[in-house]
Amino acid sequence: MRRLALTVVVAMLGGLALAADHNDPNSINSIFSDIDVSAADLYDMFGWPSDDGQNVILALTFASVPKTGVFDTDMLYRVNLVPNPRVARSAEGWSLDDLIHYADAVKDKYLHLKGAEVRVKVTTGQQAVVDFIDFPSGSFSKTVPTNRVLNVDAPDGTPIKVYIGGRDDAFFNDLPGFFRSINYAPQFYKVPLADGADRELKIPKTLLELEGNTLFNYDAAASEWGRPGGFKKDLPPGPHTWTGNRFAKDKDGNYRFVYSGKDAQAGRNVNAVILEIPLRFITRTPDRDRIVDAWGESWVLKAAHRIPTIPDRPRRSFFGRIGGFFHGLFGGKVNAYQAELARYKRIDTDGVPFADAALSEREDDRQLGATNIKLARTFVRRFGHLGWGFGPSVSALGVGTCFDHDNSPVSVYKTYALAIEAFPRVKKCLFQPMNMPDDSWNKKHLNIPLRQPFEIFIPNVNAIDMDTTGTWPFGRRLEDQVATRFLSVFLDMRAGCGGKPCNVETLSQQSLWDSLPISPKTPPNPLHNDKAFLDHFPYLADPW
Amino acid sequence: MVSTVGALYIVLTLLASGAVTRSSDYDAELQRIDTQIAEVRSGGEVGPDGLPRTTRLAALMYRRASLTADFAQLREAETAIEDALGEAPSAQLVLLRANFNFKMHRLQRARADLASIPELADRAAVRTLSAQIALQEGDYAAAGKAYEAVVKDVRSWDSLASLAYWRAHTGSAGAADALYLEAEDEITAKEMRSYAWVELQRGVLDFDRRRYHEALAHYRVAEGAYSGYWLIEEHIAEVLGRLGRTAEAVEMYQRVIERTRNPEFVSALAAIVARSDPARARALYAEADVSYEAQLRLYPEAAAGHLLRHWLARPESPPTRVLALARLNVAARPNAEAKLLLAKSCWKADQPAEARRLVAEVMRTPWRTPEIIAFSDEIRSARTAQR
Repeated sequence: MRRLALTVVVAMLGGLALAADHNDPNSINSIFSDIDVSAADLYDMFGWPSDDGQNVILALTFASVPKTGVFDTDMLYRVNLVPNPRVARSAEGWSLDDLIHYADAVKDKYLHLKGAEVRVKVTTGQQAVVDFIDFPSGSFSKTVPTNRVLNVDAPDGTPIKVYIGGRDDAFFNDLPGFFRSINYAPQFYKVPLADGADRELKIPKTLLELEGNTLFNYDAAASEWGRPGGFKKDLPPGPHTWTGNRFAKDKDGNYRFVYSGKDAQAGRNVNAVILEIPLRFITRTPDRDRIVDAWGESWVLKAAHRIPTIPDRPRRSFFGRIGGFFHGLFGGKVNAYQAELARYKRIDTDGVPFADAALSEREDDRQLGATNIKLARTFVRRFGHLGWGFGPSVSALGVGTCFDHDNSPVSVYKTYALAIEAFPRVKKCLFQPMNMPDDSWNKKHLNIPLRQPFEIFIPNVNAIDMDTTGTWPFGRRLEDQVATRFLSVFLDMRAGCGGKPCNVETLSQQSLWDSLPISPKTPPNPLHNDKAFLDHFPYLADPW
Repeated sequence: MVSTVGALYIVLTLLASGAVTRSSDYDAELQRIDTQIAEVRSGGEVGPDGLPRTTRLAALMYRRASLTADFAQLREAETAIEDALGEAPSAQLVLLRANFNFKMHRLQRARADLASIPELADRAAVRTLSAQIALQEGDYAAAGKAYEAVVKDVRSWDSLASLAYWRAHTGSAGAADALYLEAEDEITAKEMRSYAWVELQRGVLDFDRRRYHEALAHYRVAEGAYSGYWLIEEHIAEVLGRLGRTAEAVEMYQRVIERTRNPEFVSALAAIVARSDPARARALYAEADVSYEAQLRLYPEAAAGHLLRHWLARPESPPTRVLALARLNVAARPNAEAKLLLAKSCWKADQPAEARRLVAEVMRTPWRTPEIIAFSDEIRSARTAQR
């Protein structure tokens, strides 16, 4: 999950200074505990097939803490892999119940299915301990130096490429523009990142500035407001709402775009776990299992395991000891990996890009990774809320939207208590196939169905299709401009672009913006990374 | 002239003697905060996180003062908070002040602060603070309900620990320990001080049940988790005293006193050495008297209870003044513990009927501590003896 750098989190604060005269758990912490960027903060889960389609390339990136190429030794990172056959789903005429049933079925699968995992911890000597766990040929472990490209041979001889180290951040994005589109106060105002009220203000989401929305509209006299290295303003007294009724236009009659197209991530580094694994190592049936679901997790060592403690478990009975004996005989190494994980606490997950920022509202309790299934209703409601904002702004530009907003002339702030109320508005968006700009993604020209948003976002995994180039949503390649492609989810794929189909790259076309009554005339996000990617492993560019 | 072997011996001895000593976790944290304070003071008006300098300074100074429990530093922190509120008021700063007021036992002010930030009312931090205020006001039922409601919504380590404390003092020590254990499981290796604090509480649970060896074991774990913290060390000193390991207790108290000059520990050391070295005890008590008076001038509500215990532990203490202070303490925190101290003050001032009335009032609450039970037994035994 991509987070803001240098966020300030409001933490609970108790009240004891004096010698333990009453209960004060957080006696020392502060409301404004500065939580610097954490090594547990995951950024991106890239994944795509190698050019010959034989290998899966995976890159889990995260905050370069304590510094680029140096790893926090309390951390444990997991890249989870579940191979699947490709399933063609027809969601024609689906109801909300059908969607929930789909989510339940996927939940059951992920909660009970055992996939494989690559687990990485780094020692105090900055050696990476890489465990390959539960692959079809078994499990094995290697200790490797960090910041070096390595070829690791599995016990069965399978060559696996490994890189654990610092790289250039491969994410290129106008993040301030995105936050402007959702009226996200902490980006622009001195609002500590707290739960609730002062994050997304109760102003309609929008791609076009709202007339009179002085809380967020671009200020030419303060061009660095809300930008990296810029400044933030004091949040004026409330209410923090918008009472206008139309989009803003300049003197030329153009709408003002909330995006700038500038890369706010330029010049940044990440730490990364990068792997290139033959598909035949991930599944015994590579001809059948053409999809590899991948997601990343970050875990932090629990405090209790930093130091020797008093054993807390009660003494076992006679039968308890007998049971333990047999368990130890047959439990095997699998339990050792589970036991290791029990010493850690999961902090972050990453699968689909923007599933968190856009759809999960960054709430910590919604970071469930592949098991985000229980959030299906939340997603429908959230999609409805976003649709009332983005839908009218797409329509105002003369582009067709899949969201039913009753021809509203302006973005609307609306939330839903019930998914069933939102569903009719969003169902076309959720179930429309996402058109691709051409056939280059389908390099073998197979009968591969286009993906639909409901199956892209649930479960929250990077579903890599090995018979494609792995461009989003068939994976995620480094060069994919996923933020702009995410916005395309709100386009009418069937006939929204001048009566013709739109596609996932529509909003990245300069020609589109040149033709629209908008300023600046730019795709919302940069089209390329600040540094060229490598054409060989580890693919992400060298760090700055 | 020193031979080569001799020089090597000298070098090895120096190294072995710890000439190069490692900073404790506590000292390292203080140093980090000091460095951050210096950076904020010399930096721009707005930090990289977008917060104004005064706000950052207030937060850091509060954190430092909370760590040291130094009253002078707490006063500086309060000034910094007020300055920050004057320059760039925010709900978060008001919540910081609410916590400060609670810390200094100024419950009404803390309540008023919370009431002025209704937009934060749903936050777990605010709900827990409200529960803690209720507990200090003696509304144990409301406090318990509130703690449980927070835990139902947010099973964070601090909400679990808050509920654990309430359970520990309302007759469910076993449940309390289970909650503390669950709280520990939520704490990561990035929060060792928090872990140490919870482990300390587990030790206090055992201490209250007179399981001193078990208590010491927990305190040692806490010390291992977060070294050099006076709060842990003074608990270790206390339990060493109970275990009859007097010399070790004295040494530990001396170490803590050297670093904190906290009158509570000066007084505790005085009590230990009173029999063997009465002159030293008198000097220590005198030192504690002066420090306590200084604290009382700065924050009377916060100092009152501790000064009361200091006086009640000594055979010679001015009964009128003790009573006055005890009444001030109850006025600030009308809870069972404050009423117990008032009862003890009445007992010492030869007002047994009032003492008994207060104890009966305390026993009607669900709040139980070893001190409450012991004093209740004492005055009941005294009444029986009189008959």
